[in-house]
Amino acid sequence: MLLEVADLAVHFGGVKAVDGVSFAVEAGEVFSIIGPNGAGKTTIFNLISRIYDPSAGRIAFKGEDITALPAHLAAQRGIGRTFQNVELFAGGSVLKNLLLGCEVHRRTSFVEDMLFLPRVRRQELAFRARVEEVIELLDLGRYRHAMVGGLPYGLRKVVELGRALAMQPDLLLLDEPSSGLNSRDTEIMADWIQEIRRRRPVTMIVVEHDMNLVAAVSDRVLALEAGRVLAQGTAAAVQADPQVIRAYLGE
Amino acid sequence: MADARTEAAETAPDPAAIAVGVAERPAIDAPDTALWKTEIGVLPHTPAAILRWAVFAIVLLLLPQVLGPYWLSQINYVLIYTLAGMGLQILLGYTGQISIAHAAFMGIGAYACAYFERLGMDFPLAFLAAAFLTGAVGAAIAGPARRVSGLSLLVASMAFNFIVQQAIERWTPVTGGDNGLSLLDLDLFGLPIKGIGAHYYLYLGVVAVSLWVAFNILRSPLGRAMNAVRDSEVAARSMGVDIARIKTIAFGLSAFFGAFAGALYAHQITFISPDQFGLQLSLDLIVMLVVGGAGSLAGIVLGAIFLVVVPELLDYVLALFSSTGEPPGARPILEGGLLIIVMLFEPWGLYGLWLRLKRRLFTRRRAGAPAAGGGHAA
Repeated sequence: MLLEVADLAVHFGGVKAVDGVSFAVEAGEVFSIIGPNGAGKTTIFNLISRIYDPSAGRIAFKGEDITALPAHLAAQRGIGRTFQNVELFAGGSVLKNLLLGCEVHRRTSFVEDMLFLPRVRRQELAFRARVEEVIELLDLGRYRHAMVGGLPYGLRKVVELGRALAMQPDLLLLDEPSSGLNSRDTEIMADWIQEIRRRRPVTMIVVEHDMNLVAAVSDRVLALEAGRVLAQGTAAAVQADPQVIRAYLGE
Repeated sequence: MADARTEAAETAPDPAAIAVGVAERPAIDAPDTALWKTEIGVLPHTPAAILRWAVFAIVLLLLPQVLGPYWLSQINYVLIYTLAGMGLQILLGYTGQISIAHAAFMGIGAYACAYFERLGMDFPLAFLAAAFLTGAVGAAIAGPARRVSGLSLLVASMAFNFIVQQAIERWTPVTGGDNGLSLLDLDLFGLPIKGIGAHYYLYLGVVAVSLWVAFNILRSPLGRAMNAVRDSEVAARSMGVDIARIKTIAFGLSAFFGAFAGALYAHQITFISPDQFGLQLSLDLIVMLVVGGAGSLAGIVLGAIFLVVVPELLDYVLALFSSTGEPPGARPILEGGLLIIVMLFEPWGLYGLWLRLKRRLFTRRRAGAPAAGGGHAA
């Protein structure tokens, strides 16, 4: 198992945002987490990427207990992510944002950086090559030097996906890749996810509202409600689960 | 430890590997490593740019021959403020930490350099030792400073500035206390640096090297990580940026270059006292960065010119209007008014104004040319 989450819980004050959630994700899988607003989906992402500390439970990644690991080390272990509301570096170009994805592969010290020694130059060229692969994969060539702040929302989501890909993560966490996108852009996003899967050995966990996208890309689905697991299985099985239907459509 | 990933990061990119799957649209995405090299380079690469920079360098080198001692000493202050502003820029502009303690770093650097020289150290050694000492102080205060941000950091840094000023005032055996400290004559490995012109060349050299370092920071992983911390800490952490490391480096480097500025400032006025390194100077430096053009290195130079030239300009104007001496309050009102006007008409500061001017001239000459933008990328 690439990722194992056991009895994970987090409380904010008296609110149990995540309450005893367990699941495991295999290498190469696309695993989706669905559920109504406030079900705790994004909170689970923030726990796995180590932005939040759990109140209870355990997270293991590649066999290592990462429950108490700082966020930047989790990234260095190979966990990449995107954000629901796009957290790009607005003051920089697309290229610069993508290059930041290479931070986990940095081998130079700050003194070397300040002097821009040959080793830094070689590393920058290697990073650039890595980033250009992502630019090619996501067809961002036209926007390479565009400032991120001026791009349409859908494109910014693609850039953020690219930044996570530039990390070359073993596990990619996509937080609502379709939120804020129209149906056409959502289809494009689903295509990107499929394409990434074909071209790169990356495991994905996707938090998503759009059931069409979930059905299109997922191997397995986990349904949440109020911080608890409702059902787990293939997309079709979870969609047919009476409890899931009740949670989504009401009584 | 050189593991396999290091190897991968350092070997030159294999164009064939990148080109896989590009066959359908080679025109756009064919890898162009020569272009990448140009894009990360620092030297001008078009003949026109090389010519411009050569002319600029010659003008700078000839200034002492052209300018009188008064204006040359003003230029020296521009260089010192540029250095100070650059140090502050690393913390404020690159990393987004709003600190008004930069005068304190300049003070520590100035006193440390003066003290070390009195102990018998050569200037270059005393200068570097003062900078490393101040850098260490900066890195040390990053510890508590990391726990606060925004307005709280502003207030905490203000308090730090007060404390340093008090310490300088009370530590009489080293600092001379309220009596101040006069500087020994400058010499560079036995070569005396006498006169404003010689000082100018020394300052120019220090500024040139420092600006080169500031530029290197921007184009390297360090600068990207700093910008990431400024724009979104949560995203920075998720990208593998160690926030504590970056803030410590930012505070340390900011203090390091602040000490450079402080030590040169001390040698420029040859006498230092605690009141020179108060909040007023810290605030002046922040005003300088904003007026110059938040985020750009060229803006710092413009801001430094503004800081030095405006009082001169006001002297001149006020002398025109009053033969019986300055009307009370006229100077701060005019200074403030000018600041407000600059900010109202050009939020990107003087550098923004310059870019707009250049763009207008440029597009008039060559219709349809792409607008020159992106000057504020920090």
